[in-house]
Amino acid sequence: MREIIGAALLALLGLAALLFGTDLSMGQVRVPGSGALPRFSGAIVLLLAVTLSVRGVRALKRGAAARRHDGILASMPDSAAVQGKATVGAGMARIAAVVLLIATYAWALPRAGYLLTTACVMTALFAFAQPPRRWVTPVLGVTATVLTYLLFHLLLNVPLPRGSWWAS
Amino acid sequence: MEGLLGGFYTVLQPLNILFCFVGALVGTLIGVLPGLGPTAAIAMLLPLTIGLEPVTAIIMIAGIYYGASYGGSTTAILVNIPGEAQSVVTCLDGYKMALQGRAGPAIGIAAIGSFIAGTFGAVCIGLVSMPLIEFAIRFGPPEYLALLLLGFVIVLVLAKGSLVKSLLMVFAGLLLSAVGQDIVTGEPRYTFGIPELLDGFGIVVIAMGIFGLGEVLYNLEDLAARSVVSVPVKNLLPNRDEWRASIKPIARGSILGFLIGLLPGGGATLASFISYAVEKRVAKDPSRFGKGAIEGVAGPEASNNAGAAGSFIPLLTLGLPGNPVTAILLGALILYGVVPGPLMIQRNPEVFWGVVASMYVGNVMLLVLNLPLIGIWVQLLRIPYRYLFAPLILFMLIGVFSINSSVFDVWMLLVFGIIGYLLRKLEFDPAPLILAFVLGGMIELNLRQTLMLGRGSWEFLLDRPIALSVLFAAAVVAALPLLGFFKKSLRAARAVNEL
Repeated sequence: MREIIGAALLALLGLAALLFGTDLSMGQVRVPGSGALPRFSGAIVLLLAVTLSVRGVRALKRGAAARRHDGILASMPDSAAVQGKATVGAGMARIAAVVLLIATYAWALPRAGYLLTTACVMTALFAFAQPPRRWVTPVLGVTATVLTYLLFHLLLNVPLPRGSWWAS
Repeated sequence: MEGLLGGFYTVLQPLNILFCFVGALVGTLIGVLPGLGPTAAIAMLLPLTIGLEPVTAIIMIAGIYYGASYGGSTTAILVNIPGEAQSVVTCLDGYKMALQGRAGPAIGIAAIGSFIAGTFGAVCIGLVSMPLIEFAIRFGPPEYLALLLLGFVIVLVLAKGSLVKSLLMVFAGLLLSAVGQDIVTGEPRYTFGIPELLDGFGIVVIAMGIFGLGEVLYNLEDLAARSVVSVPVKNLLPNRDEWRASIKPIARGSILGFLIGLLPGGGATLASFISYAVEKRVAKDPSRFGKGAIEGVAGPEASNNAGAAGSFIPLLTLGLPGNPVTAILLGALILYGVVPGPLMIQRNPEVFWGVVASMYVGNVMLLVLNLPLIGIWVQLLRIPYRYLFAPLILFMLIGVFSINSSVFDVWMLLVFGIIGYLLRKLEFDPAPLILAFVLGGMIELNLRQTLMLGRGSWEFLLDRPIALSVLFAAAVVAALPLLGFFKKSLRAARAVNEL
């Protein structure tokens, strides 16, 4: 199944390269244009992705046939499998939440500035650690913010955004 | 020799020593975290070097690299989790030694073996680079194109997993390299009207996203599953018998590793596995391997360090990276305005020899500073991962922002982090993608320059003896998997990469 999902995503990439590259000049065989390499690469990606998906579908069919051969008992979920699925579900939810927090960070950074954005997002990220006492979470978030501010802004002279909301 | 001494003079300046120390320290800090190895560490910590002089920055990166490699070995020995593929083999006997109460000597011999091999590698770089540079000075676009193609063929032949998946990664990497202004006509490609994309994607953003954030996201799947160290660490120095057993594996590993490191796609990982196989073969009692044989730690650890040094030669002399670490380093050098290749030694001799000398100094730093700090690293391994991922993410966010002071880069980090996570989840090896991304621009430029030089004639490539020889070598390497004789050994080499 993984091969099929991977192949489908890469096929989309290849297709996008071909579609969005139509304006680029292909040039000639003797003088390739700016579109030659990307469109050629896009076509190869598409072709290989189709090959991979065909292979994936065949493997899936073979797997299904083997399961049928082994009997219906083999496909019945046991308690460990159910528990495993629950762990995977929690893990995926955690990843989705972290991705959302990073997206929020990227959105808020130029608006609310480094200190406020980082302190809030870090506090939220540290909440996943579930420390024994609740007050530890914001303390960790603020400490990480101050330490990185000192390191990057004061020591390495990196200009960190102050935030457009406070500009006036 | 004069150049190397000059390199040492540069590296041994107090400020450079300080940054080398800081690099080794923070490199170990990241490398010691389970699942994060030298590639991720360099990508994540590269922004720390922004604003430094190129030589100082490179010296710090060398410190990060050696620190992360050392940290990876420590984790492999103490927790049985390799930071990166190159430490996988160290787990086999290193962890068994730790379980037998010999974690100290295992860590000690790993550091000492790495130091000896690193010294050997640094001297060899000095010896091999000059003749190679004199030869490479005659190279033009056709020769470079042929070399790049040879590199790709070797990477694909030794690629981890299926060939179709590796090819997909290579062409996806080429596609990514095409984003931005065309290098010949200046025409924008796949920029969608976004000004930040005109310069294309940055190697740091891609590497940090795929190897750093992608790995952190992957580890988030099961926070509770992260192991913590439980074995005691004492007596770092090996006893006389352990020394006697280790010295020959270290010597063999150093030579073997350096030679393997020269190959594109070779580097530290392949070197460590081949060294382990050799040690097992030459051992009087091979059954001891996998049960705590110190030779199984000494040889591979020396070999992966020498392999890392060897992989710097194609980068420094030809400007061609052979693995993800050197690919990121190439990006870093370009970021500092230094273009690796045959002319680097003329244009930036202090950087060239500084890189060579810093490898040595980086190793010394590990030996004299990091070994005594082993207690701190062990304590760090006791911190649950759920407390560590948040600072890691923050470091990447602020790090990637600091390169161009651009929020767009933060968005791109997130995008490549998700891509990295998906690649890991869907079992695609990202190494060919990174290599193709870095080499893609070079391939396109050299191909188009070759055709311009030959007035549109492809035969021009075949009229150049060096280019023709390299292309012939590429054809032979590509045909190897078809020959029955090589099938078995190639399968073994791929299995090694698979781990």
